[in-house]
Amino acid sequence: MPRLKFQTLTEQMFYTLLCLKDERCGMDILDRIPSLTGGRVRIGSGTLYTLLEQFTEAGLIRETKVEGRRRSYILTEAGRERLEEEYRRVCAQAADYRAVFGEEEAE
Amino acid sequence: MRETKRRLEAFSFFDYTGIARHLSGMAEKGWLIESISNFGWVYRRTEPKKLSFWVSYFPRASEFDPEPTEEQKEFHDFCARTGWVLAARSAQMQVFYNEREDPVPLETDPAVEIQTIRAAAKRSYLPVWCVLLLISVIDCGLFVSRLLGDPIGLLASALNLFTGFTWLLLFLLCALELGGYFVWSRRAARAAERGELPETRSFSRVQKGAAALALLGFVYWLLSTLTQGNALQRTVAVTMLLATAALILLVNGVKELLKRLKAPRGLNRTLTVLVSFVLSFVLVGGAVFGVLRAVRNGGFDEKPGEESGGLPLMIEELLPGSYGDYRREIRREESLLLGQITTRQRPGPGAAGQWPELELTVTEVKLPVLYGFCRDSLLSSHEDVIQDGQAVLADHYESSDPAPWRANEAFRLYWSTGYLDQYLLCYENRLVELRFSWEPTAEQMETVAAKFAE
Repeated sequence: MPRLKFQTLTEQMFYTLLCLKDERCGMDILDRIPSLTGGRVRIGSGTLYTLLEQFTEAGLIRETKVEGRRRSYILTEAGRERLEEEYRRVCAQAADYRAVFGEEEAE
Repeated sequence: MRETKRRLEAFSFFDYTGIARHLSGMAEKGWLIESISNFGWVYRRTEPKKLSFWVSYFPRASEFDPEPTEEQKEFHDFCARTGWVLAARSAQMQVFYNEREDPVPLETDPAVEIQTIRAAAKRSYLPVWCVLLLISVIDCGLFVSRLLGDPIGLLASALNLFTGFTWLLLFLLCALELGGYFVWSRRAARAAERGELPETRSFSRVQKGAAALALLGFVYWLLSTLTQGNALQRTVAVTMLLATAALILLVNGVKELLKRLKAPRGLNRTLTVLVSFVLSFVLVGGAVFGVLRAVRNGGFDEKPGEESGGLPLMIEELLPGSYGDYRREIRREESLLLGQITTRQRPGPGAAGQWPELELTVTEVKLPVLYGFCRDSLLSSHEDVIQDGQAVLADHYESSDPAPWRANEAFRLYWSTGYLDQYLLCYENRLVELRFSWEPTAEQMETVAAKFAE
């Protein structure tokens, strides 16, 4: 059975959407993700370019303005909902972890 | 010292790791890739250095684009931000290099990368290879069908052997290329679920080997045609070669000119396809028409004393007389396996009354294992016409006395209700088929024997 697109978000998808809470152009996202994650998550230029296209097609983000070759995007309501779903999924995972190993060990 | 060099490289479209590895090696030797085209990859001399290369794919790009589209330029800007510099591009394939020591990979999500490669492959690579596979299958089928119908004609022709060999090579290459792609695609999809992307398997050596074999076959055909063919065969070979070369250069020239004139992609594609169709008909069709016209006008008829290599047996040697107005037709084919000469001497168009005619086909078998096959093939070229299990027209060879011909075996053609003066004579490594317009005498048989029994 084929997997639904964006049913679960990879870290790179998650942070790309997160960065677009505020209007940003693609190249700003390339800088923002490493600074947001302390260098833990890096995203390749090609991957980001394709993700921006796919998110736009799926209605998770929308283009806000075009300045020369710089296009800016912002999260849509659907994108915000998808991000929240992912947040709840990650939180549920964390809660499950705590339930198994206990609060102290988790901390 | 040369500042650029051009090399013919053989890589599969999807062999991104093989290409990147090769280009890194070239950069370490001081050669940086500059452009990629159908006529080779061009490298520019640089200071030898360690560079990281990445082959990326832009599905919406086309080889007819006059320059990178705005979307592509935006993508290049993205890449430049992480240190990836565009070195060369060819249609959807784009080659980047990075001078940083530990650069962020251009693609960091294998699943997204596979989607991009598959999308690019569907737009041009797969359709082209599928069409080539179809063409090679059709031509291999035609080759086999001709091998069953006229095996001697096929195996004695260097051109037919070369083209058959080339179609077979093309078929194997297409199968390897498409098979390799689909195997990679399945493996990559499974690996992407684990967050990995497998190395591609490089068929570069096989592709280069196939190209070398095809080139050897071509050189063999060209040399054998130029050195052993008659005037007609040489003319056809040279004309078709020139027409094909002109076609390739002109079509490519039109495409490149339109790109320089910044013609839109759609216009360039339409005009290039149109020009290739028109030029195919004009150049190849014109060449064929010219040669056929020359043949019809007797331009390639062998004239007495001018035969290349001479006729193996002339009518004058059997029936003394003057045959100055006779037309002589000679067709020679020579390959590594067989040689065949077919000659015909017949009266010219103005001749009145009954004049003798002689037709002769000599097949030299170079590979002894083919002798029985060729003999049986010639014998079975005449078969009775059978309807509802009944022979309605006799047409077959029957055994005849080989002694007068000094042959190992002799056969005479039986047609309808009687024998014709057509014989098949089997000598050591040589098969001779003779058709007289008269019944040969014992003395004439001895003349034939003296020619072919040795």
